[in-house]
Amino acid sequence: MTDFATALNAAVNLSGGVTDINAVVRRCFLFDFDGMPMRLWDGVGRLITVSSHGDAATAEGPGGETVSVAANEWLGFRVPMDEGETLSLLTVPPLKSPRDGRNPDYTFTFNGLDRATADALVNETWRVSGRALTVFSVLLVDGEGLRPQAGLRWRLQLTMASCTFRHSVEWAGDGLRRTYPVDLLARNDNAGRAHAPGNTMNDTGQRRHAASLGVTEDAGGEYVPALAKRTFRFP
Amino acid sequence: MAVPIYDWPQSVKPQASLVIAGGQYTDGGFTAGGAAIGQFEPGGRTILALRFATMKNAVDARLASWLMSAVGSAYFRIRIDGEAQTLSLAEAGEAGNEALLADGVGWDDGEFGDAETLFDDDTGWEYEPALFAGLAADEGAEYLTVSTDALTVPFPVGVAIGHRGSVYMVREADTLESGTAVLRLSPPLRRAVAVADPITFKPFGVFRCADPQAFRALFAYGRFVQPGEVRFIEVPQTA
Repeated sequence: MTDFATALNAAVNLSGGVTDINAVVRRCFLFDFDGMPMRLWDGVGRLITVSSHGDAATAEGPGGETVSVAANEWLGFRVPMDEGETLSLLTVPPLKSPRDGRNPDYTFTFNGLDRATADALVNETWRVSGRALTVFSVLLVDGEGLRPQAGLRWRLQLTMASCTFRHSVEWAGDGLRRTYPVDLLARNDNAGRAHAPGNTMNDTGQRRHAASLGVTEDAGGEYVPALAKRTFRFP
Repeated sequence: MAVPIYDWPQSVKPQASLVIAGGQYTDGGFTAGGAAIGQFEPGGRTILALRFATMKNAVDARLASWLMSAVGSAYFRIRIDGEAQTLSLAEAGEAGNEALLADGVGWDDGEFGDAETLFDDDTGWEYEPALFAGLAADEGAEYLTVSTDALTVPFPVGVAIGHRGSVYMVREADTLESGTAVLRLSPPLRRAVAVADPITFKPFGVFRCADPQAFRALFAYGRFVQPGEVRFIEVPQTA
């Protein structure tokens, strides 16, 4: 298995000129639902990677039959509707690096569910909370088809919090169209960092917290009489 | 949610057809070419465009009436039968095709003479010229090696071939002196190919209508109707 960066450098092929685009990078999403991991990728068809991620799972085929999905198989969530036009079964919010310390609400929307599936999912929401959602990059080099030979590159990990269900009816073409989208809320690791535990702080708690981190003396929460009942003026 | 798969009615014969490999357009501003570059989508789906003649008798009219509704809600198994985009029997050569003459090519699991195979009870059976795979290939691969011993011409590009219920467009073909040809297919293989699997030249594929509205036409006086030109999109037959 080639390293992602090595394969990308080879595909860009700077020595041969930059006029040839012969590779694309797409995203892969591993929704590690409890007992039922789901692997999706931003493309068409079933992607088979060299490395496995998560556990094997099952899915429903077009004829209603159960098909197995191995741990290295990713189902494409783009469905071609016409030439050049695709329907996305998963709406992905703009994902940002968590390094700036912010904690945005990431809402992933699953479209294209029928009513029976959406109803069945209501009883499965316990699989969501606290589970990981991992985002990878996959490099698809021209000629490799849907079997990329380079490994995936890890990009981001989120924690799934909850999912909510919607139901809408709209006129579409020749009839009523009912949609049953499911919104999945995910957070990054900055969730809750702004909150002090219990929202209060005292000297004892601060010392215990410091001790748990291996700091023997932390006087940050200590009462200093000289600072009490004084008026501070900012210049 | 199960979707029914129907055989496309043989009496609703396309007057004109076109098979193309699924593509995409991406911005290509950093290339020398220009602003929009048409590329083959990795794993894109086969697209089939069909145009129909006027249907003008009572049987056809009812069939057309049924199709007007069904075309938007079912999958169809359609044979690619135009002369332009398929290899003819003369080109394929008869040698090696005796087995296919006897049993035909089952479409569901691709096994010869398997009585459990769908559409393998001789209903609507037609002879399918075929070559045999020379090397095994994985699902998702783009390259396929076929034996060309019987072939009377170098393997042409731009033809549609079939394997186990999927239709592929031959983008590149490299005919070797060793009696094999290396084909580059689009879309990538939907199912793994075993050695000596038949690669058929009048391929069947399962398709979904992309624009059922365009197919619908009004019945004129005297039961005349001409369905509109439609595009079908492949339903991948993976296992």
